[in-house]
Amino acid sequence: MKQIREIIQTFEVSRPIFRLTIGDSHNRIDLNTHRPNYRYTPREAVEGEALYELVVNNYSESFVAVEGRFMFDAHRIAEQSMSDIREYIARFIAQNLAMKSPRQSKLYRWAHRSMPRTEDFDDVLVQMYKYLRTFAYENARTIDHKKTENALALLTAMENKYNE
Amino acid sequence: MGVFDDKKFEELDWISQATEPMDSQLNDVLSALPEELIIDFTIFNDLMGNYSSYLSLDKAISHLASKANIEISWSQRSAIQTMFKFELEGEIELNYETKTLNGGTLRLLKLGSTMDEKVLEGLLGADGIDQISGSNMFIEMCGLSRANDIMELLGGCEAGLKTRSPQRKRNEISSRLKKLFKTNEWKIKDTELANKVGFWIRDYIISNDLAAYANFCRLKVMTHKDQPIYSMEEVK
Repeated sequence: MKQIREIIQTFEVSRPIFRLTIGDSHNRIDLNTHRPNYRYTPREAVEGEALYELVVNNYSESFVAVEGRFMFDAHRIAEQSMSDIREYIARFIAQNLAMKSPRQSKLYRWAHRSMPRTEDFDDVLVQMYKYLRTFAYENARTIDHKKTENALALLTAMENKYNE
Repeated sequence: MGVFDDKKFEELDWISQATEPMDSQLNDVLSALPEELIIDFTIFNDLMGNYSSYLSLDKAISHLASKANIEISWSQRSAIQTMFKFELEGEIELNYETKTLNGGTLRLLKLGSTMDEKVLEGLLGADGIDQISGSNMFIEMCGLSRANDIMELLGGCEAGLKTRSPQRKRNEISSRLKKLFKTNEWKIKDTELANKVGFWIRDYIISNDLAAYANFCRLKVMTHKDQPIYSMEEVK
């Protein structure tokens, strides 16, 4: 998850400056915390930044009144991003394994439920995700059969190694 | 001075006696509150609280009352809200970095020094009726005949008199009171006096409080004069 954390460290937050508005019946004053005057959004991903794009999609901030500032939960973003990567890899197998019922395969079931949950393995998965996204779309479909076969072979080797 | 005399009504000037305005302690509370409150960053932030994203009129009025050392109940605050509004001039920016409120003025304004009659009419008897609803009044078997005494005096409670169910009797009394105060059949012109009716009924039925029953009976007698009722000499 190291690469994910490095991306998260580049994130900032909106400035806590708001325009007040009055309710229709003049009985409340809204702070409009969902629309700060100086809203921060992470920069858009460029081509080839699949991992960055995935992490950015999980970015969200919230205004914490007791602190008087916006904050985001770095841990949650990291965990959600990692979860998205695991789900992607399982989906890649389901979409591209040349079987009648790929979801019944040992490989898919391993990817879907039994992949290790360690820091080291997470780093391996991040690398695998980046590799897959060099030729697979966001929906896990591909048109490069050679690279697809290669990726599936790699995943099978990983399954054999980490299931020992 | 007779026990059924209305001292407050007799002390009113002739115009008030002719126009029969509603009276309430809320008018005293309202006139004691300041005309205006200018809201700065600190007031806004403190009143908004940690888990909200807006400032409500209720919280602002609580603050105003607290500054003036006045205690107001929730129902009083709810009624008084109708006499206040927020006013926002300019394009106001609340800045948590500098802890300032800039670009204009935010105020809480009082709209008048007496409560709207319609609002006061809506409050008639409400607190007292609450005492009779639901779990506030559990009638034991020994209280059933006292509930009947009350229903006979209230009138229009035939269904309640026929039933032997304590809950149905309670509900009948509550419904009858709501109807009575909605049209103000008894012409009670003081909200505090109107609220006492429910409390007297509850105290008599639950605790056999004879002073409460005596007060309720006195009030009922006064209604026969078909005149507005502002006050009554109570039995303690």
